[in-house]
Amino acid sequence: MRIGVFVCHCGSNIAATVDSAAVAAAARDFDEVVFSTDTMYTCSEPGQTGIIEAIKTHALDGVVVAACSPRMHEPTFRRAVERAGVNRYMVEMANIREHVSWIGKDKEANTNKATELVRMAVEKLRLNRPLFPKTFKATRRVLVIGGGVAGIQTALDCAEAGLEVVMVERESTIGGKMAKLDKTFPTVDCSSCILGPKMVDVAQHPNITLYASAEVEAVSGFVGNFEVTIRKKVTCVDWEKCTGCGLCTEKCPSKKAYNRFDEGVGPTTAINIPFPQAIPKKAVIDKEFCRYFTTGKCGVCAKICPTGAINYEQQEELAQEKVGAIVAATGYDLFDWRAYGEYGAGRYPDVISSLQYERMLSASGPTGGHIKRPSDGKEPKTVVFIQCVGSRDASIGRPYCSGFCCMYTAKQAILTKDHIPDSQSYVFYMDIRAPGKAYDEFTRRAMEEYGAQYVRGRVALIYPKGDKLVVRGTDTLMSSQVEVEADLVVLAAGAEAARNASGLAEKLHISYDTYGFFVEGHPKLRPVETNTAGVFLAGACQGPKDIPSSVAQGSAAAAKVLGLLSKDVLESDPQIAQVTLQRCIGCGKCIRVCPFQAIRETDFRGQRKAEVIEAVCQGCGLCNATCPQGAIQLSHFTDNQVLAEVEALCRC
Amino acid sequence: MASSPLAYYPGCSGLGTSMEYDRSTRAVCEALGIPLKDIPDWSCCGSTPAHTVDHALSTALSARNLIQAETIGLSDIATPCPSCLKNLKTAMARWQDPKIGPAAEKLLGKSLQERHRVRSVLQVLYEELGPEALAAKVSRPLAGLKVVPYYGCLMTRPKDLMDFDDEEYPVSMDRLLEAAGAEVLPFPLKVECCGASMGIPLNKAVTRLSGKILELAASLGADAVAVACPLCQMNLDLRQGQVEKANHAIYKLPVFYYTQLLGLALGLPERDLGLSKLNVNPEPALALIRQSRPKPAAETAATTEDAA
Amino acid sequence: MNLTELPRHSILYDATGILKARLLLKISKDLRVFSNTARLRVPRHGDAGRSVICADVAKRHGVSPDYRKGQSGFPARSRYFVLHCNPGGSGMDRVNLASSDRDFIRQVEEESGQTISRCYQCGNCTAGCPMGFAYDLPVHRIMRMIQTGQKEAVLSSKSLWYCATCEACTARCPNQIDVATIMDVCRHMARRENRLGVWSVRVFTRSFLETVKYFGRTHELGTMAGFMLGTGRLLTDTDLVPKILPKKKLALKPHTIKAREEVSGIFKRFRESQKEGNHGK
Repeated sequence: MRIGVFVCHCGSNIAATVDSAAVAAAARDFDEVVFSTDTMYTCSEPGQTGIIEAIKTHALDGVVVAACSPRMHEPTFRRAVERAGVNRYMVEMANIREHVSWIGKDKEANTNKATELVRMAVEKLRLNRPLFPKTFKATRRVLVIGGGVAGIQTALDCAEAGLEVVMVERESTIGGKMAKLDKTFPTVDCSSCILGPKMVDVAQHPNITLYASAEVEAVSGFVGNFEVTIRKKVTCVDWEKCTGCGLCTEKCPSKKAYNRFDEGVGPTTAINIPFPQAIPKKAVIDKEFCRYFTTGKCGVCAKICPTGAINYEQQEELAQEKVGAIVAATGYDLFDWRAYGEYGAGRYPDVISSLQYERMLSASGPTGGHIKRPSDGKEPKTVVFIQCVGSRDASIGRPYCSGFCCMYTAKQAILTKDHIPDSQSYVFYMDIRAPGKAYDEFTRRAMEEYGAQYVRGRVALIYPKGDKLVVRGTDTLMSSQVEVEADLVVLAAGAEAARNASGLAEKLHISYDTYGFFVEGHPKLRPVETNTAGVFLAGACQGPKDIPSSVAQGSAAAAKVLGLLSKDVLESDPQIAQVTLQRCIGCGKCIRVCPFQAIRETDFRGQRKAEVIEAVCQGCGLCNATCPQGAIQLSHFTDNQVLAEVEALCRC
Repeated sequence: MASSPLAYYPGCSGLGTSMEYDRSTRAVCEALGIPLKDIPDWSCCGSTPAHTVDHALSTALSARNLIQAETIGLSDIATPCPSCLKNLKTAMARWQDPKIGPAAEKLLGKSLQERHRVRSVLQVLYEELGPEALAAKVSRPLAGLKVVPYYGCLMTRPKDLMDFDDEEYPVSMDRLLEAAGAEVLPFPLKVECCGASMGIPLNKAVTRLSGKILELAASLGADAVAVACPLCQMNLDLRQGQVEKANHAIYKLPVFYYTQLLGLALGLPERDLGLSKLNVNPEPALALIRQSRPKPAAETAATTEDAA
Repeated sequence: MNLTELPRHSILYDATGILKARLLLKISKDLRVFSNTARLRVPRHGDAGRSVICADVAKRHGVSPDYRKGQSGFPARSRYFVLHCNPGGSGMDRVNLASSDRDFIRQVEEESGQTISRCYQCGNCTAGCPMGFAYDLPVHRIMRMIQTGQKEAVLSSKSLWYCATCEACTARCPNQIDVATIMDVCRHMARRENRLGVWSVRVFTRSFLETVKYFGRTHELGTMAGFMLGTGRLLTDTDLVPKILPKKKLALKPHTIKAREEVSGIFKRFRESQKEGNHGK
């Protein structure tokens, strides 16, 4: 081989503690190295040009760059050598910045270590072979999991661009949490008025196929070629026939079913349509409360239904879809605030969550928009809002800020005054987080125009006294203990990842953090991508956020999907596992250990062998480590290549 | 319930102002087959005053008793008083703390050898016996006596140290009293402080804080308050007159130790439970209980005896 | 100790303080009392050299500096009490942030094992504090004063002494700070620096511990007697006596233990370690 070594100064980043020139000089003596130099900034244009010219001048067929971490500039140098006509995998990087110059100041020791790392890189490079990515066709369809505002935005953007969209929503209607809101901040727009048209667009768009009351059962395949199994849950209503007329809900005798959409505020019937603007507007039977299923008697809805849509024997169905990309937009759920024993742990009916209050405020909600105390139905005159319930609280394992509670509490305080003009609201807060456009002004309006009394301090205890609730808190700005007797207490419960988000993450092979939120590719620069090719994120599933941010991420994810699927073919990464058939004994250990199910059993001349599904393999190397024969090797990181580095180090 | 004996630490007030707590605790434990062995020559744990002066001092005073328990070969300690409980448990923890342990050892002149388990008698009754087993032994259920269970501030706080029941809304005493046949009222101020040792230096604290508790209990229609702490009992019972005067109110609410109520339910003679030692007349509550079943003739003679 | 090093707040303003000061002077021979009034140094106490006037106060009362100079030094071993009032300041004084006593912060953190910067001043501790009505500085404000190193304000506050150690603050802190232990530690520090604090609480604590020291177990009657004599409140709880005596719940004779010297030994060694200044460590 004819290897060229380029040792970077990186200004003084490396050169201050590593003698780059000396390293370059030492490298000159290594086997098969014909050219060695040091440069100021190898990644810069002159630096790259220098590499290209050196390749041409000295007929180099391999390059070692001793500089920063490959995570920074490996793609840069690979592209550079490609421009010079050398295969991009004939580049090796020795990290002499993060691993050497940034750790210590001893120049002699650092220079020695840098030289050793370069020697290791050279020895590996000597065993490198050119690798060529394969291309494959991608299915120009996208799966959007979650029908909240983020998912809706993604679906509409993709559909408008001509992509086919499959949307899966586990509730019987799309709209997510936004559909439950009465009004939205900071404009106090009616939530369903602004969301409704989008929901209708989703239902009517020719490019969108909507599976509501369905969940993703399994995902297999790889970017561009995913195969998704969707489980359609049992609703006991044939949605092909159901027109959403609502006759069944009027006649249903079981009137005490838990109302999921209304967060338990007020009951509903066992067969129900969640809300009037539901999309799809179809009925669903809640078996737990349906008399037909609990007692064996009834069947009123089946008799009443004009289209004969009721089917008590309905079974779960599975559907298969092929898509090229997946967007997870599963949203959030509210933290179960009953963990707070000092707030009654759910024992006091007049202590409710913000979402329950939101349903009460809504004119199409369970109380017809009248705010009523759950205990006795009376209108409250003193309403206390408590922020940060389940947020910024390390003691219950939720140290993060949920981001939107300050805003929606201000909104609720304003609406309370609108609904009940002679009411007095109190808001207990620790800080006011109002970073968006017109957000801070909005919170000031609640305080200045709508008379909400903001008290800076937490609440230590709520206890009933007569028919009121005594709220004991602090006003730290007055430096005083404070107390108020409330008719109703609304807790701004924090946001957490949607129920069983982690289960979905496992199916999609994406990461999730301690709190269940999906992990983005890079916290700053790649907010809607994941580390799994072809899977993107949008909305609160990635972290709590408000509606404008969710919509923005929805469009961002759509842009990523459109970018991915805009090409005719996709390239696969050749740094993947390969099976040497002669060595493979067909034990199957690699198949079992592969986290991506990228290896399958195959028959080769009557013998059982392993075969790598190249497009799925992510190149993690687990199979290589597991194989007792060393039959399955990771290209670009074969056992021999790694051992060459080790031997180079041991000989130093 | 046959088991190895528990080392019993009565606490100083058990000899004086809360002697009925000590008496009824011993009687109930004996009746339930829980053997108690007094820690020999036990001394004061220091209570609140010691730990507000110095942690090494407090640790030394408490640890002495743990070591005394070692002399009779017992490492499972039970005490009825939550303040003693907190001090003994804290002494165990602080002995391991390099900033405090060695200093305490120097003050004491002795070393703690073993890791002791220290629990309240309430915890022992709740966890080892349990409400079901207790109910099985009840011969004279409390006839639906409306009781407000008051745990006091230390029994279950802080959570990591006391490691028992719930910090905000404990239910152990509730369940045991229910098993004894009482009607336990949901009481939101179960763990709110009664004023503790402020009764002497700042009497206003007790009249105010204990006042809130008594007021709420009375407003809920309670026949009696059940407590598990000598200081709480003193503040709510002995000082009830002071509280009434300061708040211009009349409560006339008897304040029992929960062990006294359990003892009554188990059919133990009233003199063994020290009922006569209570300040606010318990007769109205006792009358309600006695109505439940006719009692044996021999008992009638002994009920109001005051045997000191 | 130099007079000019005395913090501004160590001045006695109220009349009842004078009574306390006089009582203190009567109790112990080697007491020095700082006061703001010339009345205390009147020779009626028999020893004009035993009381000292603060510099600024001296000026205000027109006392000649010479007199002050004569009293500025006194033996290291004498016990002295610094009587305080208006400890937290009315908040009107501008605090120079550079005046933060970082040693104080470090000491509090070390002794309590807590990280004071974790407190984000939510006020939950104050909200749940049952004794807050008696405090001059609410708990969260004490925490803030520790964060900003205002040693004087913290150690001279009355709040430290009125704390009932009920653990509500610790139980509810969202950042899991053991606030009750921090209050304890501040009390220890205040004691070591001979802050008088709240006299009634100090006397009660002392009386209680004295009975433990002598008898090995608390003597309730003895504690009471000590309190009455120490504070002059002879009518304390006398209304309870007719309720408790007939029930024989108040032992006239103390309960003693066999190994009395073990317990009194603990106290003796504690007192010695305090004198050595190694704070019992």
